[in-house]
Parts: sequence; structure tokens; C-alpha cells
Amino acid sequence: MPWNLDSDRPIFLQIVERIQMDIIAGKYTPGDKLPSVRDLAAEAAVNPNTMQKAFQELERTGLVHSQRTSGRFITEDTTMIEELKTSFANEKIHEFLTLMQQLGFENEQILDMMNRNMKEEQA
Amino acid sequence: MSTLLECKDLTKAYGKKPAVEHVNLCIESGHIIGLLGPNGSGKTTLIKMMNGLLMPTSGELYMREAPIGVESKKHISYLPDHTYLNMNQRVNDIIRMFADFYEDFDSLRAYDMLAKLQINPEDRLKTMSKGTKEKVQLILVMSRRADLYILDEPIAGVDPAARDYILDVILSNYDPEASILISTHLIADIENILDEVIFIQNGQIRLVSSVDEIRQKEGKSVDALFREVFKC
Amino acid sequence: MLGKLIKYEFRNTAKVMLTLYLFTAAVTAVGSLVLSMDFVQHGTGNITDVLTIATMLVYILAVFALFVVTYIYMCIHFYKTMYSDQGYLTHTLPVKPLTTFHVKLLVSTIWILLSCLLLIASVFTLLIGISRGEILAEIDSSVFERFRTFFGLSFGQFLAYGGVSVLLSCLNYLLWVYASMSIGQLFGQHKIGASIATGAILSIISQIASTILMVITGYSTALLVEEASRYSDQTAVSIFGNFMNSSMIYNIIYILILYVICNVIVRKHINLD
Repeated sequence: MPWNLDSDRPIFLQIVERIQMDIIAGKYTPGDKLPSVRDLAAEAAVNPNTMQKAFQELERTGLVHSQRTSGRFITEDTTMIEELKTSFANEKIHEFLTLMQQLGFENEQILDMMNRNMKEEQA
Repeated sequence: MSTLLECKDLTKAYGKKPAVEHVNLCIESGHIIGLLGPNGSGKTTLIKMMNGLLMPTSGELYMREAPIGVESKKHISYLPDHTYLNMNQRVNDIIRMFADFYEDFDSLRAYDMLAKLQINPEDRLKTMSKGTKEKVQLILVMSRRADLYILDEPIAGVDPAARDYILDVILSNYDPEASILISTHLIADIENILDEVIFIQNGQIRLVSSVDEIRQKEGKSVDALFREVFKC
Repeated sequence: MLGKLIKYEFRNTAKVMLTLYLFTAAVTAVGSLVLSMDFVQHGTGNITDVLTIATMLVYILAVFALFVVTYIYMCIHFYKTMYSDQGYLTHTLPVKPLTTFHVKLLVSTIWILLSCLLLIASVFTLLIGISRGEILAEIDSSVFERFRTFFGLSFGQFLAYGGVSVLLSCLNYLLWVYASMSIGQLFGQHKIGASIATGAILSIISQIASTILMVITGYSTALLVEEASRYSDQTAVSIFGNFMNSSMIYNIIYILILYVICNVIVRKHINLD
């Protein structure tokens, strides 16, 4: 199943984000082996060079490390994954707040609405 | 990475009308490159010259620094934009022939792909549907371990499922040392598998760029840029 | 590579050719059988006549078809595999285009020569049928001597002469078509039409050139007939021999010109649609 990718942003960035997301969400657990460039490229229906570039970017940030012969592995540094998770969450909250402000809501109102929604979902 | 194919001031004219004009181009190893242009822009003419089926009016063309000839044909695997096999032949006869003539042909790979598609190698080409014939041709071309694959309109006129299959065949047989040149006018369909694009219009090269560069600089897809550049 | 090319060229043409040979053999066998039958040989009346004439007619048509089909099939096969869609495969094989061309010329020539041999065998079989095997009894040690007195040539000479003439005319006809098609494919459009037109033009040019050459060498047909009638048989044969020689030389020159045309185009000017 080809991955859903936006058509206006660099593909390798979208792949990086997608793999980060998979790590945060626990699809890959710390220490897991990543599929090979070739396999993942075929799965995503993207150019293997692009996948390679995305992997290199992930390696650069330290989220993934490669062992020369046995392949690429997810970092076992859980604090790093936690940090990524937090920063990702902060980013999303920031986006959300900006949008709500654009719609003209005050912070108080936003909080109020959030609480009400959460209660409804629990019920 | 090394240079595979090089065009130097390549021109092909039919009478006075140039079909390809002063093309300078370098194809490096390890890339999947889209040769993109509207119908009649000179894509097929350029490709036919690369395969020695058409002689340039002027200019030069080299494969690994040697002119197009026996040596280049050993290393270029070419899929024409129409059927080109003897329709009376059985698939396994053609496979045997390819294996006899091309040192880099991998029969096992071919039979494997045929089996996945449930195509009987005993069948004659003429008994097959148009789509199946095209798939057989693609399988033959991708079963070679060539340095350069040149695919002329491999996805024109096929349904989305077949298109996904074709892209899958291309990607899963792709060797990182090799390059693939794909000509098409259906860009959105193959954009994700390309890493470089060449825009050609009226026989002239308009743009050579990497896909990510276009997206980063222009903030739009290659398809969108193409529509803009070739707006009627 | 050369061996493989020849193998595949034979393999790709064998089906049609062997079918054709089988058909000719069958017609020959039936014809020979019918003509050897008692009531055909000794009978009188309409039915016998009709049967004899019909058998001969079918036989002649079949033999004619053998040659026409061989030749036309070789020409079509050449065009299809060199200059039409299948040319894409032919010319992307890692082989020099000229080698491919030579292989096609060689294999076509061999098929045509085989057709000639088959024709000789077929006529002989028919003669055996008509003579009810008596012709076989005629073949003894004196047959070559009789041959010599009849044709004025020894059997060996006749074979050599005949063989060379057949080979030359075979090359002549094949190269004529190959050259026409090679020139025809240079055109951007209407390649087949251009090939036919080129064929016609080449043929006219060759007619004119041969006539001029004949006049110059003093062996125009008129002269030959006149000379022949004036001298004894023996001299007529030698004049005939000279005429054959000069026409052979002309033939060789023509073949060489056609070959050079093909050679240059195949090497440097392939122009597939």
C-alpha cells in the first residue's frame, strides 16, 4: 500500500516525519530493527534514494543508528524518544492554539471548551 | 556515482523540422529519472537515439564514454512505447532468446514475475490482452541486470492497478548502482518514485532538477510545476 | 553471437519454409502418382485429358508458388524484422547491425537455394512417375557423355555454371529488395510506398544500364541471334557462353552496388519509426 504523501513538500521530509511518528506511537519500539531501504521504499512506493536520504536524516538526529552489517536500529535512548514525543505534542498544541486564536477564541474559552469536550468523550 | 550516458549538442531533424535540438545531458548512475514532456516534445526521438534506432543529425552520444553500439546495447535495457516482439512466439521462447543474447538477463527473475502475475510462459503473445503483453515486455526488460533502463511511456494507457504493479516491478528490481530513465506525460502517477526530472519541450531541455529541490524551492509538486511550465 | 543469430534466423523462418516444402513434396508425390497411372498413360478420352492437364496445372502452380512464396516471405521477413516494430528488438540486441544484415542475407539465400534443390528433386520425381521408373534405367555411365553432346557442356561445367548463375540471380533479387527497403525506410513517412517506388526506380536504372552495357560489349540480343544463325551450333554455344559471361559480370557489378547501398544504410542510417 503506497504511503499517502503530500505533493508539495519534499518527499524525504515526509518520510522522516512518518517514521518519527511510528516511533513515537510505538509501532517501532526502542532497539527495533528498521526494514531495509529497499523494502521500505517498495512498500511506500518511493524512490530508494529518497528513502536512503530520509534514513540518513534520521541517523543525523540520532533517532536511528546503523550497524555496518546488520542494518538500522531504533535508538534505545528512551529519553530521546520522550523528548521527541513532547516536542511533537507541543508543536501540535501550538498549531491548534494558533488556529483557535484565528477563529477569535480567548484562552479562557478554549480551555473551557476543551474541558467540556474531554468530559463528553469520557462519558 | 559515475556518468552513464552523455548527450553532447545532440540534434535530430526530420527534413528541416528539428525533433530534438542541441540537447546536452548527463545521466549519472544510481538515479530514477523522469523524462517529462508533452506529446510530441521529442522524448521518444531522444530515447531512440540512445538505443541506436535513429541516427542523430548532429552532435554526439556516449554510453560510458563510448559511442552507441554493441557495447552500449549490452548495458542498456530498453522498453519501447509499443509492442515490438514477434507475436507468434511463446513467452518462454522469448525468455530463452533474451537469455541467449543478453549476458545480464536473469531468467529466474523473469519466470518468478510471470508466476506472480499468473501468466503462463507457454502462452503465445498473440493470445494475450494488450495489458498482459505490455506487462510481459516490462518483465523482460526489468529481468536484465543492466546499467541503464530506458522505459518509454511504461504507464501510458494502463489502469491504476496495473500502474501500481508496474511501479512495484520497477522499484523492486531496481539496483542502486543502476539508473532508470522513464519517459512519460503522466507525472503525478510516478512522481514519488523519481529523484530527478528532465523537462523537455519542442525538442529542447527546459529544466533538469531533483524532485526535492523543486518541492523545496517552488513549494509545489513536479506535476504542478509541469502544468505551469507547459501551460497551453 | 554470429552462431546464435544464424540459429535464431533459421528457427524463426523454419516453420513457414518447412510447411511450404512439405506442401511441395506432397503435390509432387500426388502428381507423380497420378501421371504414372495406367489409365492416364494409356487411356483416351476427355476424362484422361482433363486429369492429365489438371495435374500438370496444379503441379506447375505449386512449383511456381514454391518460388514466389519463398521469395516474398524472405522479403517480408526482412522488412518486418529490420525496419518495422520488430526492428526495435533486432537493433537493440548487442550485435552490429551489419552482422544482422549479413545473417539475414545468408539465411535467405540458403532457403532459396534449398527451394531450387527441392525443385530439381521434384521435377525428377515427376519424370520418374511419367516414365514409370524408366528414366532411372537410362542413368548409366554414358549419361554424362550424352549430356555433353546435348548441351555442349560437361555436366561439371553445367553444374558450376548453373550454380553460379542461380546464386547470382538469387543475390540479385534479394539485394534488390533489401536495398529498396533500406532506402525506403529513410523516408519519414510512407516507408513501404517509398520502398516500392525505390524498387521500381532501381529496376528501371538496372534495365537501362544493362542495355547500354550489352550494346557496348557488342552482344545485344539482336546481334546474338544473328550471329548464332550464321555459324554452326558449336559457335552458337560459345557466343552464348560469352553472352552469359558478360551478363554475369554485369550481374556481379549490380549486386555489388546494391550491397554497398545496404551496407552504408544499415551501418549508418537506420531510421526506425
